[in-house]
This record gives sequence, C-alpha cells and structure tokens, in this order.
Amino acid sequence: MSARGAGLAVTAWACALLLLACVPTAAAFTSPVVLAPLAGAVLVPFGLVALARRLRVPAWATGTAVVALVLVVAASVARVGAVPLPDGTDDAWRSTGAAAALAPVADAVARLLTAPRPAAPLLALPLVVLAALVALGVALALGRRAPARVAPLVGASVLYAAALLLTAGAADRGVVAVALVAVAAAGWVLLGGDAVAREREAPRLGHATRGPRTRWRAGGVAGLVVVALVAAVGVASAGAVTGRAFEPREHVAPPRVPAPAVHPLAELSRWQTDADATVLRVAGTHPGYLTWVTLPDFDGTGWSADLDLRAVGTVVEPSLAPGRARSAVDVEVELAALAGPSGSPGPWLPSAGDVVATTAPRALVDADTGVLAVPPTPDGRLPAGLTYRVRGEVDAPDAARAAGAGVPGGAEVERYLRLDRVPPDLRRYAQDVVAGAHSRLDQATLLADTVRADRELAVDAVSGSSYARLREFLFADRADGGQVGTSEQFAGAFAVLARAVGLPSRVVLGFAVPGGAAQDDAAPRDVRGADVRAWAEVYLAGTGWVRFDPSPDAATATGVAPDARQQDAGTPVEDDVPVDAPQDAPAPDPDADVPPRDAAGGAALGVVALALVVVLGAAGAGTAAALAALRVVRRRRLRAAGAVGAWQHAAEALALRDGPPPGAATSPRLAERMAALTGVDASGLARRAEAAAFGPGAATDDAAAWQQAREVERLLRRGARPARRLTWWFAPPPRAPRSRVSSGTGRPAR
Amino acid sequence: MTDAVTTVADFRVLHGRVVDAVEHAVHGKRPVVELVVAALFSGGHVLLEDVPGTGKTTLARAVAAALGGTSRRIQFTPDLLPADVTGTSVLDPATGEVRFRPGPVFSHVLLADEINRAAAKTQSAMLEVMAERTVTADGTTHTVPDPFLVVATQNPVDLDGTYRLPEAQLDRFLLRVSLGYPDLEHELAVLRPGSSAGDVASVPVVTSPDEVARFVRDLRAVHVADPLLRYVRALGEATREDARTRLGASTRALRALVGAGQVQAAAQGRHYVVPSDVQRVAHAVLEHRLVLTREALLEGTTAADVVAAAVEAVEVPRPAAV
Repeated sequence: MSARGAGLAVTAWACALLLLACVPTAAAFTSPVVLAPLAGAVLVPFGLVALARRLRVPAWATGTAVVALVLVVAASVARVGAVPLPDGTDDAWRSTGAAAALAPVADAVARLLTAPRPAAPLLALPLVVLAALVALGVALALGRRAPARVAPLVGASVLYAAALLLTAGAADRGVVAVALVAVAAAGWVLLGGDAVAREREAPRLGHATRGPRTRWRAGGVAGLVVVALVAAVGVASAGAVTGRAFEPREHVAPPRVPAPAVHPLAELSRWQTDADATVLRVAGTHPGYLTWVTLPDFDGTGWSADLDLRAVGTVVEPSLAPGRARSAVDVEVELAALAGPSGSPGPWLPSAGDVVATTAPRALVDADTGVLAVPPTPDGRLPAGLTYRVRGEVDAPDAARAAGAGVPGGAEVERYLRLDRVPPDLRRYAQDVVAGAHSRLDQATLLADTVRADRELAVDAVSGSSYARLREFLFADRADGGQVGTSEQFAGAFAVLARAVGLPSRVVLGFAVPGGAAQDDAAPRDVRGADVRAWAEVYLAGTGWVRFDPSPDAATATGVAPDARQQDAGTPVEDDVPVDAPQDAPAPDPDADVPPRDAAGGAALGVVALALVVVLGAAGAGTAAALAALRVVRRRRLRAAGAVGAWQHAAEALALRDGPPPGAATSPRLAERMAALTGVDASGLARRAEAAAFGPGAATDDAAAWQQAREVERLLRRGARPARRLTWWFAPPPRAPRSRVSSGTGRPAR
Repeated sequence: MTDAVTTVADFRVLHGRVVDAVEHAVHGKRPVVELVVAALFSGGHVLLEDVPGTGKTTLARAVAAALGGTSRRIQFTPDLLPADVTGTSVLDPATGEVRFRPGPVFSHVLLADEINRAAAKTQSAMLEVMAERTVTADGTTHTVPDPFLVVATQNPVDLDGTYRLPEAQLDRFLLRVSLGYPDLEHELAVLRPGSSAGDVASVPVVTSPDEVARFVRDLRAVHVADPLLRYVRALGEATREDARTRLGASTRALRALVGAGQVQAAAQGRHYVVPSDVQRVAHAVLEHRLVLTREALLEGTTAADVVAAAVEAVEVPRPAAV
C-alpha cells in the first residue's frame, strides 16, 4: 500500500457515488441549499484523510481526529441553531459534561424526525454528520486493500437509504437508484480491482513509462450483464411491493409536555359577565372564530381536555383524519384582557384549526384538537401583551360532501362517543329527535335545532354540564331552572345528544370574532368578553370537524347587541358549512408560506456554511503554508548536509513524482530511475551521497552536488502530473510504509 | 584513510587482472568469476554447484593458476580416508624418523571435486582444515599455506552414493555459486575449434600468494558503516523470521556477508561498503546456509526465494541528512 492510498480515479469515483447518494435528501427539505453542506461533509473527510496520509498519521488517529472534529463542529452548529426543546426533556444524562455538549446533536435527530415535512434546512445537521462519518469511513477504507471496491457502495447505500427513510420513500422514484447502480458498475468495470491494486502496489522503479491507469477487465461486459440483471430483478420486485412506505417518524416519540388540568368552561361565565372587556385583538385570515380550548372528553359530570402537548412542528397525525377540503388560517392575535395577572388561568392560546407554525415562543400543540399552548407564567396565566402569529389549516366542509358523509368507526372515535351511564331519557330524547333524518348531517342539524328551539340563552344561568344539569336544562320547566342556559349548556347538551345517537362530538370553548370570517384583515378586530362562547363540533368522515353552534341567536340577559353576534350565534348548520367563501379565497401569500423561523434558519445555515467554508479554507491554506515553511526549513538543513542532503533532496523529488520507492531499492537504482525520467545522470550524485553516508569521514559541503540535485528536482517537477505540480511546494514527500524489518537510515556519523 | 584508499585502488587493479586472467580459460562467466575471486580475497571457500561439464573444475584450476601458488586436486570418493586428505605420518626409511607427509590440503588452492561423494569422516576432516587452516596429526599441528582456498564442486543431479554435506560444513563455505550454461555467443566461442576455453595452461600468473595474503589482511580495513551492519543484521533477521526456514542465516553467515561485501566494495574501487555491495553477494553468501522446512520444500520453495524475499522486505539504508 502506498502512502498515496487509493488512486485519484478510485477516490473520485467514491466521491461521485457518495455525492449522488446525497441528492435525494434535498426532497426532505424546503431548500436544496442543504446539498451544499452535504457535499462539503462528503468531500472534506476525503481531503483530511488524504492529508493525514501524506503526513503519515496512522489511520486510527485520523479516524478519531476527524470524528472528533465532526462532533465538535456539529455540536457548535446545533448549539447555534437549536430551538430549545420544551420543558420536560429533562434526561439525567444531559447534565454531565461531554453529554451536555453533545445533547444538541442528539436532539437534532429527534428534531429532524419530528419536524414538519419538508423541513427547514438547518435541521439537516444529523444528515450532514452522517454524511461526514460515512465519507470518513469510505476514505479510510479506500486506504485498505480488500474493501476498497465495496466501501463506496456501502456508504452510498447508507446515505441513499437515509434520504429515503427521511422522506418515507418519496425522495427518489428510481432515477437516482439507477444512476447509483450505473456509477457503481462503471467504477467496478473501468477501475477493475486489479487496476486499483496495481496502481497502489506497483513499484514504478525501473519502468520508464507507466502503464495505463485503468483497464477494461476481461469479464467487464459479463459483469455489466450481471449488474443489469440484478438491477432488473430489483426494479421488478420494487414494482411488486405495494402498501405504505416505512415511516421512521412513527417510531420517534416527540417530546410530550404535561398539561395542567383545569376546567376552562368556568371561564365562559366569567367573561360573559365581563362582556365589554377586550379579550384579544385579531387580524389576518381566519374562519370567523378562534378556538381557545377544545374539550373532547366527557365523563358525565363535565367536559375536559386531556391534551397531548408537543412542540409545534412535531409530525404527529391527528387520530381522526382532517377533512378533504381545508382552508388556510393566517391570523395575528394580540392578547389583551385574556392574558396577564387578571386574565384567565391556563396555558392555551387562541388559534384556529391545526397549527402548522406560530411565532409564539416555545409554543406547544395538541395534534388531535389543534389546541395551541405556551408555557404559562408562574401564576399559571398567559404572558401579558403576547402578540403572535399562527399559520395553519382548518376544515372547510362543503355542504354536498357533508350531506352524504357517514361516521367512522374504530377505536379512534371512541373518545368522541364516550357516554358513561347516560340516562335513558337523554338517549331516548336524542333518538326521537333524529328519527326520520336522512343523513348524519341531518341528524346533527335536527339536534342543533331542537336544542336551540324555545330555549333561552342567559349569561347568568347556572353553569355545569353534568347529566343532571343537562336533563334539567332540557326537560325541566323554566320555573324549575330548565330551558335556560349559557352557551355551555347548549353546546354540552347538543354534544351529549349527538353522542347518544352515535355522532362523534366535542365541545369547544372559543371566541366568535365580530364580523365573521376574514381574509387578509389588516385592521385588528376587538374580541370582547361577550364573544367568548362554547360550541360543539361533530366529526363526519371525509369532511372533518363540522362546527355547530346550537345556542340561540342572542343572549337575553346581556347588553350585547344581537346583530354584533349575528354571524355566529345560532347559525344554522348550513351556514357553518361555508360553500363559497374559504374555497374561493385566493391562495395565501407565498412569502407568508415560509414561517419566519425557517427564513431565519436558512440565513443561519448560509452563515454557518459560509463560516465552515472559510474556516476549512483557512485551515487548508494554513496547513499548506505550514507545510511549505517546514519544507523551506528542511531544504536549508538538506543544503547544509552536503552531498547527502543533495541526494535526499533529489530522492524526495523522485518520491513526489513517482510515489515512494520500494524499500529494497538502493540509491544507484533510484539514480537510474531519475536518469530515465529526466535524462540527467544522477549516478554520480548517488555515489557521492553514499560515500558521504557510508564512507569514513564527515559529510562536506558539496555545491556541485546540490546544483545537480536541484536540476534533477526541476526536471522531475516539470514532468509531474498537474495536481502534483500544484502541491509540489508543500506536500510532504511520500514514504514507503515502514517495512517488516527496518535497518534504519544511513545517516552519516558525525 | 589514505592507506585504505591506496590499498583499494591497488586491489581494484589486481582484481581486474585476476578476473581477466581466469577468463582466459572460463568464458562468459564474469560475474561468477568475480564472486569466486572475491571469495579468494576475503579468505573464504567456494562451493561450486552445478551439473557436470559446465566448467567447475576449469574455473577452480584457472583461479589457482592465476594465483601462481600451489594447487592440488582431490577427487572425492566414498573410500577416501581423512589421511588421504590431510596427510599422514610415515617412517622415513632413510633417517629412521617418523615424518609427516602433507596431504593435498597443503596447497594454496585445493580443488575438492565432488566433495559430497566422501564419507562423513573424511568430510569432517575437510571441515577442520577449512575452518582452522591447520592439520593435527600425531599431536603436531601443521599449518596449511596462506592463502588457503578450497574450491569444492558438487553435482546436484547425480545423487547416487553421495553423502549430503552437513549444514555445519556448508556454513564454512563463504559462497556457493552455480556456473550455469554459457549464453549463445560464449558457447559458440567455446565450441569453435581453437578456442582457449578450458585451457588452464594459457592462464597467466598475475599475482602471488603473498600478495593475496596481504590483500586478504588489508581488505578487512574497508569501512563498513553502522547502518550497513544493521542492514546485514536485518537481512539475517529476515531469513530467521521467515516461516519457510527451519534455520536462518547464522552470525557466521552474516560475518561472511560483511566480508564479501567489503571485497565487493574494494573491487569497485571503494574503500567503504554500500548497500548494493551487500545485495550483490547476498544470494551467494546466504542461500546454501538456509535450511528450509519440509513444507516449504514440498511447496517448491527454494533458498533463493527466501533470500530474495529478505532483500525485498528489508529497507535499504539510503543516504539521509534529516
């Protein structure tokens, strides 16, 4: 094995394979700019390994050093670009020294796998680390003999597989795979193993002309046929496989944050009585209402929410599929009375639909309900004056589809159908109401109409959603406290009755935005205490959650003008199934499509990549300069060493030109080789050097010898390969690896 | 140093003359002749191993002739007795005293033909003479002439009725060389009627035993730098560590290698040894001393392979300043 390691052709082939394997990765990210750091991660280890070989650093030391370098760079980048994980990720191991430094790198994997797809480029860090380590392994393996032809393919397969796993198989439709096979086959055939070994092993001494570096192997065509057959079988079997692609994200548990248990419906009464207080201000695109908390769980005594809060961006599918028709939400919310010391307890942030991105700091989201939350202040309330932007999607059911929609079965909907020990009269009442309905939507509409009919919405009505309170609300006379309720009773009664007839339902506490749905609303609208409402939602297959507000149009005992809440209060179901407005809405601004955090991430990535390039470039230039300086010092010492130094100067030039000489080659043989390459008879030089080195007496200054050595070096350099000529002045002369038996060098006795 | 330089310059001339003289009778074998002459000047013995008819005996006789000293020849046979080689004590009827009658070994050049045909007892008598350069008979030690060069021949093909030379004795030969058949040009010259090939009588006397003895002594002063000694040691180590050898090069073998290297260097006109000198004589000096394992022999490995591997494996000391 020569110190030059694998030949340039083999190295280039390996790099090409690895780079090609990185290409599909771009599909997993919002910008193909990720390919730049990936390419760097592939190429830099090759360069470092080559440099280390020149400097005769052992492979294990090179490997350790580069792994350490990769980890240090990765840890630094991860630290710079990391969005802190939400509270609750308090693994004990993070507290120890090195682990604490590397924790951001470990988190980066979870962050990438739980990020929305396509991910921001900054999240590509684990892939860059993987690419660097794979490239390092391949570069080190190329220095060995046996796995040289396999290692690049193994490395490329790893990177390619990583890209496919990251995108659940969507990254490549076979083009890159075929190209990989083609490049691998071309490498194997064109750079046949014999040629690779020969290029590495052949002592060039005594051969004035070098043989061809690459050669068609005898069985090259046969090998190509075999590769083609294997590829064909692979493609055929790939076509035969059906079903979903493997999704690694399903196996990554996103960090979960425990949510405090409070019963937010009590807040309804509180804000209804404080009707004029400005709760919050809303601008932007929204469906006319904002969700505060969604309460899917009913235990017979009240509605509650067992939320599964996770960092925004986490890829978790809601247990019930969203509707096919959806409309965009892009809303700017400014919290007013809702937040601060006098605001409501609880961490929930008003939002709408399923949140995709938000500017709220350290925001958390529950995938099933879309409830958005932030870590509350120590007193359990929202930070005062918080302004944030929410981008997401909300189900926009269209009437035609909803009319024909059924109700899904299975374990997922059980949560929304749960009615423990429901009183028989409630169930019977519900069944009587829906008798004769033709569709699930009809049933829900009938129930909403029935609950609303002849009943009175009163802000000061008794609160509560237990079976007892609902029976009183539905069945008792007005004198006995019946027929009058807050929107809590209307929504709760509707949801319980819906469940009684098998309609999945939940209660939502939220805000009706005055003026209804808005599109790019620039002027903020004030949402007041009176606009805090409870409503219900029913899930229909293929349609998603359909909003029903069974409360009457106006509250009887509030000063709020009825028309102020016309849009939302007591809207018939058809109105809640908007057919035209959201669908016909123009597409959201494409610029707004990229959340600000991602833009910042891209810029940060650019800066990091630039810094990396600058640092690596500076390191490379510095290394070259240091090596060149060492060479100058060495040349001085050689110059002072007379004939021996002159000979060594020429011999090192020969090694630079030709690779390290075989260990058994004596100086006269090297001189013959020099003569063959340059036409200068260097045998006298060798003779004088041997006389000085092995003869009695000390070395003397020998200007003529030095002159000749410089002439030999100049001619050797002139005939060298262009790449070698470029590095001639600083590359350390390659030396043969230490032989099994060493006899030392012939330094003259002084 | 000046002495050494002068000695070496003289030797170079003399060496050339001797080789030229021998070449009168032995055509086209200059490298072999040079090796044999070098052995002569390093005070060692030579084993010529080749098939019959390649000029072994001619070479030995030509060397003896060029040297100008006495030369004897013993044709070894199984019934040859030690006394036939070393000499014996006889009663002199004239004086009535018991007198030592020197055997053939008392000559400057002893040609031991087909040495492997002698019985072990006779061979060991040879061994003593070759190593000690003395003959002990009836308690009296008789010194053989100086210089004393044994040129033994051995036929590797016809092994019937031969006694393999023991390793200890082989080790006492400085060199083992094969002549081989001459190339076309030289063989044609030999075949041509009137050729001087084989005509030992035409070999001129170019030196004297005294001169040879002086050079044998003086050439010991040829400088061998430390790296060279280490190189020789590494070569020996390589043959010892080779898995194919049962017995590698002995220390005596390495001393012989150094000595042969010195003569080689001097023959090139150098008063110091360089690695190429050692490489040039390594095969001739080391091969016959190696004992290969049975497995290696079955695989067809030869001692030449082992020496070649050692030369290939050991890094040559090269002039280096830093």
